[in-house]
Amino acid sequence: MSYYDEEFDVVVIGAGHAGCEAAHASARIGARTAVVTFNLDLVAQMSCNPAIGGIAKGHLVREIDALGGLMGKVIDATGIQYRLLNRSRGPAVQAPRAQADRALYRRQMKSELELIPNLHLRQGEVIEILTAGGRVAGVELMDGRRLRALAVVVTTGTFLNGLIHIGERRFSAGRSGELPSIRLAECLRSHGFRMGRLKTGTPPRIDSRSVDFSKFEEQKGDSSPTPFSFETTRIDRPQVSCYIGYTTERVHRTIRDNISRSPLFSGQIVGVGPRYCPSIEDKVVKFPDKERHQLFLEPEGYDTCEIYLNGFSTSLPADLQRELLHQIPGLENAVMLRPGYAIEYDMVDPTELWPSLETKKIPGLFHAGQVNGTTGYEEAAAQGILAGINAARLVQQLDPVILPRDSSYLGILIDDLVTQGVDEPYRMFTSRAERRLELRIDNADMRLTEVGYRAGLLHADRYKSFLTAENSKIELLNLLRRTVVTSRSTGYTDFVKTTKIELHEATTLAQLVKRPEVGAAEIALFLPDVYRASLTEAHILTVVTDLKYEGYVAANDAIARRLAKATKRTIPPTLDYSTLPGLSNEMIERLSRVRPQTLAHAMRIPGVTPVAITLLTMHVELLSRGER
Amino acid sequence: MLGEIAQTTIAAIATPSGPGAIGIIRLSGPDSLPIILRIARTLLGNAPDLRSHRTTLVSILDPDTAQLVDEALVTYFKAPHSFTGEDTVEISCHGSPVVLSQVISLLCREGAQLAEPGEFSLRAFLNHRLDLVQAEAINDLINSRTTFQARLAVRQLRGELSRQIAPLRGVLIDLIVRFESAVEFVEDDLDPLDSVGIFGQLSHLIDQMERLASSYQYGRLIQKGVKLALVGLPNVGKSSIFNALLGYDRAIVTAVPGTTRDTLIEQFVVNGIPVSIIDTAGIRETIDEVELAGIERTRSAAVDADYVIAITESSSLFPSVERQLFSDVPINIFVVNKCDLGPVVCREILLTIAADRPVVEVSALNGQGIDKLRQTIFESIVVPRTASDESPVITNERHYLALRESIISLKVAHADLSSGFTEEVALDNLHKALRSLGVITGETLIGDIIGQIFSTFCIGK
Repeated sequence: MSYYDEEFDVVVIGAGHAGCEAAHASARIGARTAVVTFNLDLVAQMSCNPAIGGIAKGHLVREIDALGGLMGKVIDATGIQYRLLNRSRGPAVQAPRAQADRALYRRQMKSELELIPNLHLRQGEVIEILTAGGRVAGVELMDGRRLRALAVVVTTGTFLNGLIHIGERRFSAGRSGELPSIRLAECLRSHGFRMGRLKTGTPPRIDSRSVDFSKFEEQKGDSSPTPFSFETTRIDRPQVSCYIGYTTERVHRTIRDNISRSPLFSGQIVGVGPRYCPSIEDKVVKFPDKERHQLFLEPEGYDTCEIYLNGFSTSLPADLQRELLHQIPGLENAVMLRPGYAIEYDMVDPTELWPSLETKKIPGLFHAGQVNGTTGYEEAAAQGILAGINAARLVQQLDPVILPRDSSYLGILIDDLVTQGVDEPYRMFTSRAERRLELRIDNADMRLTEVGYRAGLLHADRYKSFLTAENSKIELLNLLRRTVVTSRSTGYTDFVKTTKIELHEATTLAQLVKRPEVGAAEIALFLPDVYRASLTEAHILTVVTDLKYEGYVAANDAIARRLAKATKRTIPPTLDYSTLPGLSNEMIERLSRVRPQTLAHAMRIPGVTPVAITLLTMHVELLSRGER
Repeated sequence: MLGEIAQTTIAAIATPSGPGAIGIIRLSGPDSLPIILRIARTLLGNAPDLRSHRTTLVSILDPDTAQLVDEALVTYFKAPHSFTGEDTVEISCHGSPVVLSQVISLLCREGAQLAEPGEFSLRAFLNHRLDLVQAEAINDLINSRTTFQARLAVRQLRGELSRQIAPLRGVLIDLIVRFESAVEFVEDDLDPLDSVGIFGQLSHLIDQMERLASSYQYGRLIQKGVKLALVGLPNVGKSSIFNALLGYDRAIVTAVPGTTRDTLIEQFVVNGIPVSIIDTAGIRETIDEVELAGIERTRSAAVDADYVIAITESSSLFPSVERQLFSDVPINIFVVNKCDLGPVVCREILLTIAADRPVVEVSALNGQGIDKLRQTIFESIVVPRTASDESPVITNERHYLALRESIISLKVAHADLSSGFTEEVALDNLHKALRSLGVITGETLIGDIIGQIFSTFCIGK
């Protein structure tokens, strides 16, 4: 009998949002892949709020989709309320957000995975990552099974040494009602990985039948939903509403009077929580002047009475949670189905990773998702897809796919993680992008389709239709550059009426579209042909927006070029980085590995920080002065 | 050589070369204290008890021969409370170059290494004892030629420019934080942006930065000095005036027209500002080959100069060649020389040519009017400063350019907002403006901004 029960190329530990994308990508590329999870009924469980997307997060979902991932398609098939955020602003910061039917989402994701021939779902608890000769060899399960693997992707979410806090009570759990991974955490620690402790939390769930909705303001979805996936043409499912309400001074007083019962404030919780997802007790303590805090009642699905009380994340004792709920207008009689809780869990320092998400310590071992210190389903899924691609490529002995910072949020996410590390749960923001105006949801396909197709993840037919659209976009772009309009052009009167812009001289449509008040609709007044069968409205938006931001893009290009020019100074090939004071081990390692020839080259090495460059510049400068 | 910076102890003479009353040697690095203790003894012959930030009188002895090298004052600065952030010892010896080099070689024999140029500052920078502005100020201080330059450099060394920029940066960061919050947290219950207030703040910020940037005109003069060209027909006395301004004979002065064939450059100081004067060959229709070349140089020197002084003489009838010269070259001050010989003959014509530019009557021969000329030079080259003498001055070109870039970015952001673009477009340039300011002080990253958003606003569902 073989030492191994089953043999795979890639084993993914965990079937959350990172795990599902990793397993899908790896299998799709051609690696024989297994995904092992505690409970096969809880694949792609949304542990926290039942929603996908939002600003920057929606951008990530579009990027995942452009690469050929699942998240966008699955939410489009299971979303129950869609809203495009930042409608009043420009395309760069608009992004869709959707409430999901939590149960449908799980089922849909599971069946997507089951459709792939060489992807195998297994239930079990991984307790050990097996190595041979310093490389990954497989995994061992609690029940004794051993699975062979050339690459393993760890996507453990909040399960590593998970510890739930509800008031003074605490107990080990991976999620509410689920077992934690304790042996696996020990295994990672024993391999010498630097570990950290983070914290996150959720609010109580309440019974919709006990809510007085008249005290809340209804928030409807968009009448025409903006899909996440480039493949989704329209979404016809009925949309449900969310409801907005507020806490009161009385609620705040009760929290303040009982603050000592919060494990966050009693010192019981040591993990660092996310500042952008604070608990209600955090909000009340840190912003004492705020008279009320906003709450969202979010339905958990079409056919469930559970409601997620977004904005009320807490780890206060369960009895106090109930009392507080009853002090909220409209929730006087609310029935609490599940109390909110805080959970602490282990993470592995992401600077332990290469930009491929492979660990430096153990070749073949990849980490993705919350275990790297991030928060959010989208951040997890984005890392998952890249780890899955690179795990499969490792098996196939191909170079890893590494995405640059200037062309995707995914590139920024990974670059930030592996170079800066994290000191609190990391969430994506559009402000993390140096070139925000260029990283939009409408052009994610232009930025990443090629990458997904070359990696073997994206279907050929989708790639073909992408190329067709690209050609049509170029045609349209040329048409806009060519077409000259004057005050005598047809459509001018209507144009003046809508935009209040009067033309005093002949101008091209490409020039005109640079005005903030001019968009595709306004261009169509002169050129009805702007709406053409070969292009969707989103494609036209891309062409128009590219023209609109042309000047900013050129300016940013110029800065990038100038920076490159200023850094031509050569670095002696014999320079011993380990003796330069001020450089972190991380930077010494990166620089020593590549041995850059110039400062410009050093700056291009993924992960070398601006501080390291400054130090290096000073040394090189000093060296050249010494030689003189 | 750079290899072991953190481990090595470096030594260098800190005072300018050449004999002086006192010469200071500086020692920095982990072995500073053991090294000095090996060569220093109290006057009673014991090992001295050196305490941080105390000065102790010691004898410097060669430990091998026990021979006395010098008596010196030794000050020990314990890490991190020193200029470099490392253990540092300053040895004030007698200023003789022989003594100093003897002490240095003793220190090197005991384990110190000679410091590379700028290495003390580099160590201070690496140990976060200095920001970039301060590091540059040290450089300025070392290279300063006038006391005024030195005073400015000292002020920057004390972090004055960084301090001055800090509130401007603060205002800019506040604007960015508010815009970013509006863009990123649309679902949160934030107060709507007060757009009128923001426009006001942005304009005010631009004004303040413009004011700071405009101080560079003055700062540059102090730092780089001014190039002054003297032009005029041959034999009007350019060289005499040149010498009078310098206070000693530098140019060859003869009564033969066209004696000055080369361009001479010399420097003098007017009220703290170093002024270089370029004395040029006289301009005249000539067939003398040598002189032709000289005249060519005159024109180009006048083009290179920051200020041009035209020189004529009291008896001049302003022939067409002279008028031509005065209209060819942009002239700042007109000087009438040889006023000891009589009044200005064609005063009307001169005043017409000079228009509203100053005219000074001098006699290079007896020195009459030379002080007035210096004063006029000073007044015409110094931009009148509205603020007090202690207000910040930008003296470094890198700082000035960074400030200018920052201002341009802010203006673009302002224009974007006025024309109806939303926050994320304006933010493109607001971030650029902030990065430009960071070039001066060497700081700021997006982490700071995100951090400030969360401490300012209650965010998160």
